[in-house]
Amino acid sequence: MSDDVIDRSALRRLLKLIGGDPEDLGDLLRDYQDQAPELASRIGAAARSNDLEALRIAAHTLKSNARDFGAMRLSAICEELEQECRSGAIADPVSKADAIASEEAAARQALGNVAAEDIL
Amino acid sequence: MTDSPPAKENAEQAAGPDASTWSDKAERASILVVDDSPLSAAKLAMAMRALGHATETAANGADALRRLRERPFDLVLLDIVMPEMDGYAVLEALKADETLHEIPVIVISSLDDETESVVRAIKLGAVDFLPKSFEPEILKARVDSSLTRKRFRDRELEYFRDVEQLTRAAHVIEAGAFRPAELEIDDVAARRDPLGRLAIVFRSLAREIYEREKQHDRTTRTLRGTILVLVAGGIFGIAPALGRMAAGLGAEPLGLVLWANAVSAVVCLAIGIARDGWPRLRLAHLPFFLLWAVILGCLYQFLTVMIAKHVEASMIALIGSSRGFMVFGLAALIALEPPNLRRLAGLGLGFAAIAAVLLFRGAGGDESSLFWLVAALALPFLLAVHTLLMTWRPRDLNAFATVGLVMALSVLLLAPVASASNALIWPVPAFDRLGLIILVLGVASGVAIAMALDLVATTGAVFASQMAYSQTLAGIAWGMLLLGEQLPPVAWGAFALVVLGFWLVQPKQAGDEFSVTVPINRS
Repeated sequence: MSDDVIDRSALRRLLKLIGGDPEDLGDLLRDYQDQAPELASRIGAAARSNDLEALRIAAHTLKSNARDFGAMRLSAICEELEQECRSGAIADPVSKADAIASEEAAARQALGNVAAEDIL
Repeated sequence: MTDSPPAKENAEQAAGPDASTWSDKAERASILVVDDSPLSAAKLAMAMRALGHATETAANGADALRRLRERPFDLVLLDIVMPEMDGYAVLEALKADETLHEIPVIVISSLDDETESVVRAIKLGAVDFLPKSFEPEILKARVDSSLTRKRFRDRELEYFRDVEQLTRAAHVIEAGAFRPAELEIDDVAARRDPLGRLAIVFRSLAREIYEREKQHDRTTRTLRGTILVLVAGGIFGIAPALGRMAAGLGAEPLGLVLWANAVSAVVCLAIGIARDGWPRLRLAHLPFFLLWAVILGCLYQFLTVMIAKHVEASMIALIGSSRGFMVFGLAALIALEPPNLRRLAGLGLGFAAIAAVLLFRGAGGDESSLFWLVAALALPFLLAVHTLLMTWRPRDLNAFATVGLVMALSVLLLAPVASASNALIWPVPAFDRLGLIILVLGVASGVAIAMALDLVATTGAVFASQMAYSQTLAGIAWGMLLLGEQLPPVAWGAFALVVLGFWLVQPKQAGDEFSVTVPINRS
């Protein structure tokens, strides 16, 4: 299941970028898993209050973080939302925020299931 | 650039900063990562540490500017999308800041419309960018390249600063008087390139000129000092002969001194006023002048009269010649002039010469008691203190005005004493012999002391104290001229030895405040 959600080559690239220490990658992964749900809920709150600036920045951050950890689908829908925020034309932000929240949960679970040997 | 042929490297070295090591990638750099996302910031910080660099992270634009102003960084990795102050605003702030605009910035775009954001960032001064998705090799290559450019730019700026420093040193010399310490080109001279060698040559020439001029100044002051010692001592030395002539006319010594001091005061004040106008006296100077008047005008004169009754004149002159040693010792004691063997030998030579002359003339042949011989030491001691006082005189008054004031004060102090002891004499208004003696004595004393002030300022107190020798020799010569006394042949030898002593004592060396002016020929 994780194969569909997480791009392992992205994780390998991240590991190489930070110097190849799996412990460092583990630290970063824990940070991601702490921060991603918080970003998803910030996106939900901004969507409900129609705060486009907060929505754009939160979507941008989650997009970059998700891409670093190989959650490409999550990254893509965040990017879509960010772009809509920048253009000012956004249709039904709340349902988009909900979609991001459920994709984020799926990605986080999938990341938890990625075996170390898949990356190393 | 490391692959450049040697000839090209040499050409670059000669033309500007040393470019031979500017691709040194192993150097550890200091990098600031600016990203509002803690995760992205941590990722980039780990990546930079993996490349061997030291990193700090800033969570927003304002935090980044604060850190950049606190300490120097070699490179900034800057996120564009941040709340409140975004990456563009940070770039604008850096560009506007004189101290920060040289720091290279690599922006991290992560935007969909990458081209637009990158173009805008580069227009604002960013040196490079990281695309939305980048490989570790790309990051390394871009960081290395930016750091290499930064290091080269740093060397270039340092070179320009050093050229400016050397130019400033040239301006210092061109502007007039200089001291080597003011040139401040030691850092430039430490460079191992043509600019450093130029600074070394420049510094060596400046030091050599300075030392030569300092030596020249000392030689000039030795000559000027010798002439002043001989002339002032020669004039001052007339006093004993005139004193004996006045005594022959039955004049009271204290009364004679009082009138001579009054003449000195009038003549010296007149010369002082003619030269620089009315002396601007300050109340703060009064205690100093009073002390001087008491020591020179009262105590010294009074004791001279007292001791002259009990000790033979030539013996007083011999004891008086020890003044040089007293000034030497006192000046060393109060750290005014450091003692050295050469100066002590010079003073000793002069003293020995005077002692030989006086002993040859039969000094010490009388029955002076030991008490009065020891008491006679007070005379050179008082003159030694007088010589040192001359060193500290207020420099805003000229020498003649100073002597005039001291003499006037001493008249005011001596008059009651002379009156009480019935020593007051009243020269007749007509220009009689006593009147002439008083006039010559007053003018000679005043002029000689004023010259002595100039002498102390030129050569320092120790050299000036040799006036004791020239004064004694002149005393003998004046005695011969005015009183028909015989000048012993040994006096000529003594004169030569005293002059040799001048050469050994040498004036006080110029201090660090000494500066040199080099004439610049612009043709």
